[in-house]
Amino acid sequence: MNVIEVKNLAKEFQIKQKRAGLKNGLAFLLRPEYKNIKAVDDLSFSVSRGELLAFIGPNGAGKSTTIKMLTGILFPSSGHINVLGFDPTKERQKLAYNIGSVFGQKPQLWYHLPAIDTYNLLARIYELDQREYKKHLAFLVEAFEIGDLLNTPVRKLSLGQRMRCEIAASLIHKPKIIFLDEPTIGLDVVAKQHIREVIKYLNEKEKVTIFLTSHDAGDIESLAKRTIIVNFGKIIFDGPTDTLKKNYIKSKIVELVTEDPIENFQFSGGTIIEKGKFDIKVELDISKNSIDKLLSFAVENFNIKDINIFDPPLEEIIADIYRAQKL
Amino acid sequence: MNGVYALKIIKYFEVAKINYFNSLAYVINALSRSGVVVIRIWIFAQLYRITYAASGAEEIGGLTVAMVVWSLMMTQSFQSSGRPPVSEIIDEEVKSGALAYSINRPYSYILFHLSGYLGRSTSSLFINLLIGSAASLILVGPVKITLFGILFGAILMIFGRLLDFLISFIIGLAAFWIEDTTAIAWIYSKGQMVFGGIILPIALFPDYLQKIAEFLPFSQLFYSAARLIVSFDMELFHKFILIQFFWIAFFAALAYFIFKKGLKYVTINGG
Repeated sequence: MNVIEVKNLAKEFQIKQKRAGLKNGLAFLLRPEYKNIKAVDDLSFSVSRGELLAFIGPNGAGKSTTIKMLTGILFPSSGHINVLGFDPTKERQKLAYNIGSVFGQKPQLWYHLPAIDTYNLLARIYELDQREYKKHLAFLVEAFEIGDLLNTPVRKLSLGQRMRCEIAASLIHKPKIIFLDEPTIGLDVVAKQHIREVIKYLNEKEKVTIFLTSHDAGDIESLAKRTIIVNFGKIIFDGPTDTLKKNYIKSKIVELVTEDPIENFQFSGGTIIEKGKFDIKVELDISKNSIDKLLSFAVENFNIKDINIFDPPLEEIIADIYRAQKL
Repeated sequence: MNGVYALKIIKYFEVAKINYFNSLAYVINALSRSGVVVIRIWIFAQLYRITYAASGAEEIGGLTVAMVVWSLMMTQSFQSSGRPPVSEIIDEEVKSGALAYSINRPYSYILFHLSGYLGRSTSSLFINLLIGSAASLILVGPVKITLFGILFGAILMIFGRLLDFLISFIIGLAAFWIEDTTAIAWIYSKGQMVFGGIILPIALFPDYLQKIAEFLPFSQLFYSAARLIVSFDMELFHKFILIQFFWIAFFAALAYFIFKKGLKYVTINGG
């Protein structure tokens, strides 16, 4: 069953264009010029209940605009949106009771107060039954391991602790869908890992549908089974995250460790990334040459001790896709 | 059904409460504001003593020196009692797009900010009044304050705050159409200074100017309540509350209209 349905969604912004110089400045005052920017252009997709979807794209691709339209924050210029049976443009407040959102750059916790105060306030704002709320809060506290943080003013929490508390805040009213916009932005490796575990837990155990945007390929790789990539407001990929890797991999990384020193290594299609005395890392363009041939070449020319073959990091694959779009 | 309405009212009460506690994090600020009020009261006490002595009058416009100083202490206390800079906050929310996140929550945006305004300004209001009253007592002695004066003055003060909120809210919303609203906020603050009884009680104005000033919204923000507390007059209360209702109705309608119109212009940076 689909919980999000988007058809031919578009959003156009009008941006004022001001030219330099006094004369142009005065002319601008009398007759301002506008430029139309298509932030989202004819998007269509759907999300099933319980899905964990990564919605990614470079800066300005239109992903945040899309999330904001899905949550009723922005009105689309055209197209249709249905989220949990509601039209966000007309039933924004009703929808608000059923969805949660975490915008990494827009905290909802009160800075000078302990997180528990914000939770209590949110419980009132969402008009929750106080007994039900206390029960659910106890569950969130345990799941997010924030028991020790509840009574500490938010300003004294680390970024990672704050983000765990933020996500818990967005779940106070038991939303069916949660929109996470850059939830791991600025976090260190350990904190990122913790947030990822929390997100995974919500999706797998609590069956919450998760719509995630992130610039962090690690988030996508470790969390999302499905990925949508947008660029210039259009969908350029929509499918399983695994397929994304398989379809777009244009190179392989081959690491060789040898018994003898490596003096010279030249192989058509291969680019040396790292080189030591007894080891070498080569990126092979698989459109120009094959792994088989590279391995045969290595065995014939060197006394091989160890061989490792990797896929390039997802980050690079995505960057390649973005670059290909620009060309 | 009553339960549903109760839940809706409680949420705004909670918003006021959390703002109240959040503002307690700035106790030093509240005390420094009270310090400023005390310094001003001291200056006013010297100034009006000399002015009254020069004119040879005991009372001007029905007010003695002590009444003038107490009234100024109250208007100053009401005005500087940690009122959040609503116009700045709304201006910033409009420009940054943060407003869009707020309107997405299940509450009324206007009532949310009104509750916040009331919650935030309450904590230091009492500190200001307490310290200001002590300073006034030492500087000019007591004035006769009646229970009716306090009661009806408090009513005018609450509506005055509502009026101040609405005007500031509208100024902030102007950011939908103009680049910088600080110029309007500046005019509003100077209007308060001249016609709001902040440095000169309106009772001391010439008759014709007094009539004009009393009808302007500026005098109904903080002055009307202070004036009634230092010298209670039921007729004056009726007059002031009618003027307040008129302006509240006018600005509430305007705020609602501008807000609805402005929502169509909501854009968010970083989309």
